[in-house]
Amino acid sequence: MKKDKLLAKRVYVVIVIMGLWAAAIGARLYFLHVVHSADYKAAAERQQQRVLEVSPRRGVIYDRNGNELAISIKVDSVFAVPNEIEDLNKTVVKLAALTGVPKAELTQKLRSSRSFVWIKRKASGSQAEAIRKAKLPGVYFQKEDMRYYPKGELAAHVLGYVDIDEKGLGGLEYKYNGSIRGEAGRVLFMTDARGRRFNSVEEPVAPGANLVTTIDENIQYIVEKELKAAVAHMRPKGASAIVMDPKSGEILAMANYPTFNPNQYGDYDPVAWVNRSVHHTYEPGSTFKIVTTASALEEGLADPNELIDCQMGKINVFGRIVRDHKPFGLLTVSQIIEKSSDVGAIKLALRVGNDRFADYIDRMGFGKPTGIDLPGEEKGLSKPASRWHKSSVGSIAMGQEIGVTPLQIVRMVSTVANGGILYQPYVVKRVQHSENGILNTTEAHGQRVISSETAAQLRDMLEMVVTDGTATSGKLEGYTAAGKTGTAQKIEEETRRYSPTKHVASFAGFAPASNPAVSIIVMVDEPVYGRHHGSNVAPVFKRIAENVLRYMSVPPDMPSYAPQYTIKEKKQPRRKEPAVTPRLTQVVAMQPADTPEFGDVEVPDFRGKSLRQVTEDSQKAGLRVQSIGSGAAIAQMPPPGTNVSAGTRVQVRFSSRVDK
Amino acid sequence: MPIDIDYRNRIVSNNNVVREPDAKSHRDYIVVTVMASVFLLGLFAYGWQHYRWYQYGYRIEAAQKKKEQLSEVGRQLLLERASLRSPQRIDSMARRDLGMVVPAPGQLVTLRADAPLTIPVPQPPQPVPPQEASADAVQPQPAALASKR
Repeated sequence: MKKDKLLAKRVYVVIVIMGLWAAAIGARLYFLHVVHSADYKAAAERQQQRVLEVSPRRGVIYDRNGNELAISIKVDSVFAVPNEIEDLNKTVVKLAALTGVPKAELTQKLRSSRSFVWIKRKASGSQAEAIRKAKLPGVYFQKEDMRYYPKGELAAHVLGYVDIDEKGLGGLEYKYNGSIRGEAGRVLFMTDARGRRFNSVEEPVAPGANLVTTIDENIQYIVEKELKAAVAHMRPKGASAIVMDPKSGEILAMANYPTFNPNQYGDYDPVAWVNRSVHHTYEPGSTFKIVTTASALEEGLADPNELIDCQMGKINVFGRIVRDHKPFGLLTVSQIIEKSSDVGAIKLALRVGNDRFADYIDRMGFGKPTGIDLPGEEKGLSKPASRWHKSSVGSIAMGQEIGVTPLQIVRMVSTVANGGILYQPYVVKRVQHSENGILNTTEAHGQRVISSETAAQLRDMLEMVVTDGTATSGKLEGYTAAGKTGTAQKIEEETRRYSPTKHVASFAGFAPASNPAVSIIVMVDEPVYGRHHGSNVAPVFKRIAENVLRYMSVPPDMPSYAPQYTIKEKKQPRRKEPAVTPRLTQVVAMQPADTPEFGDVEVPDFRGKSLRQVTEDSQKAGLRVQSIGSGAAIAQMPPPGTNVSAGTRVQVRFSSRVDK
Repeated sequence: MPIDIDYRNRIVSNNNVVREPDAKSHRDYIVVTVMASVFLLGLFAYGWQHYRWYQYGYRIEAAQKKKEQLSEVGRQLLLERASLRSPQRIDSMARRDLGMVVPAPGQLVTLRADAPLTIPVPQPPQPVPPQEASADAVQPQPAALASKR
């Protein structure tokens, strides 16, 4: 009985203990799940959930043919958590050796109380690999985007550059930063006890838009190469060259000296970052005579064949004596341009008058920005006629007392080339997303500023500058060309007078003259070697134009250079065995076919005929005509008398200019 | 009249005693068993589903990481291709290594739809039957104009 009581007592004790234990657990659970629920939930989320800011990927910049000019890829950035560093000295020594960061700087960073310090942002692949192998406690990696310019210096001033945070600081990178930068996104992901990610929710990144430029990387290369050669020869302070499509305003190439590599822009003098093509203002000199002549022709105050007395190279313009570089007597208006007579140009401007001349200067886009989509464009220096001195009309007529940018001049020359329409130049053709398609497309925007007749007359005059005038060294092989030289004295800052030694030499022109495919300006600022004349720059224009036209597959428009082939037959040995049709053994280029025996239609002589007559004659003969230029036919390809098959296309070149 | 049984001296055998079936308890047993099974099955299903959720989470994350890595490799290859296609590099290699030069203007043939059709192209050689062969056959045949489009 006593034994049973003891057993029952023990059972009660156990039950009480278990009850207390259960109560304790219940109480603990109550505190965990009810009282501190929110705190622990938050703590768990902190442990299990991570929010990662995902930086947007900067858009790619392409050339007009889809070649990448700027692209961003992920690279490793090294950072440290200072309170996780075990051996400070060892870490500093290793990191300094691997990254090249000074030891003092690293020590200061790693001793700081901050929870995160950058060690080396955007480390190279080898650096990151070496640091990773060192397995330093408290040192971690973060992926960041890095901008690369795979073509190096190519089109550096157009593309611009970005800072370490991928923010555009120059060129298109700056101008279109808002579009190509994109918007950051966030990823919320959950991790297990070992830190492995197993689930994520994404607030997607809006990637930056891609830019498709009007630049052609091959034309850009040609221009940069020739400009570099010119700079090596002339040793100027600066130089620029632009190639423009005269029929749309698209910039095909834009090069400057000094230049820089946007991958390491910090290694260069900031002067090299300046896009002189749009930023450099200079007095254009004789290239501005195109504007002077255009205004006189457009107003009907002069005729290309009209004789003007150039007073043996001396004129007094309201007290200012201006002398020509040579004493000229009577010159036609065409010859004034051809021989670049200052006196003749001044006389034309005096005929036009201040107000109308100022109006043409304004219409041709001088004194205001062209509106190109590049940053830092200068508007040039141009005063309204009301603020001109009495002698200003004379100075401006020959390209003094006015400041222009190379871009303004090539735009003006393009106006002459395309028949009188002033186009707004642009560099970006399309802004597009790879996913959402095209966001924005730039359309050519132009307005007529001179008539097509005036433009045609000017084209012929400028062609004579190259064939017989001051720029014969700019004559192209196989192509006709037109243009104008310019040599402007620079003003000495100390004396405020024109310097006898410092010049800006330039040549602006287009080719082929009959059907312009490109307009080009080459401007050299303060050349040290060689003659300081625009004619010295014309060969640079020539080399650029020839290479660009060949690259663009523009057929030569000078008949003697049109490709013709003759077939040289291999003499067959006299044999009795059956003969076969002889095989083509050699094709000799550059030799006009003396007696073209192929075809059944004889090409008529179109020379001297109008377009209407040529069309009628060709229809009668069963030929097709490709006409170039306007006026009377002056040349044709194939030559008259050639036997061709019916339907052959005959290239006929017209010109309004009478025999030279 | 009551039966007088001597329980003390009688041997009672219970072997043949059969318990009366308790239908209610049997039903309760089945219900409890089924409920327990359903609960356990549910618990197991939940556990399995949770386990699979984790597993798929790992796989999706791994796949996304792989996708990002491959995308990055793709971009690096794009960059490398762009560097290799640099006009400067190609120009210098063409000149230096291959000895190439820029063609003269007259050596260029423009193959374009609107180009002048003036390039004679020889007819393909055709065998001539022996009986038609003559000394004149060695003279060149007029070449036909070919359309280069």
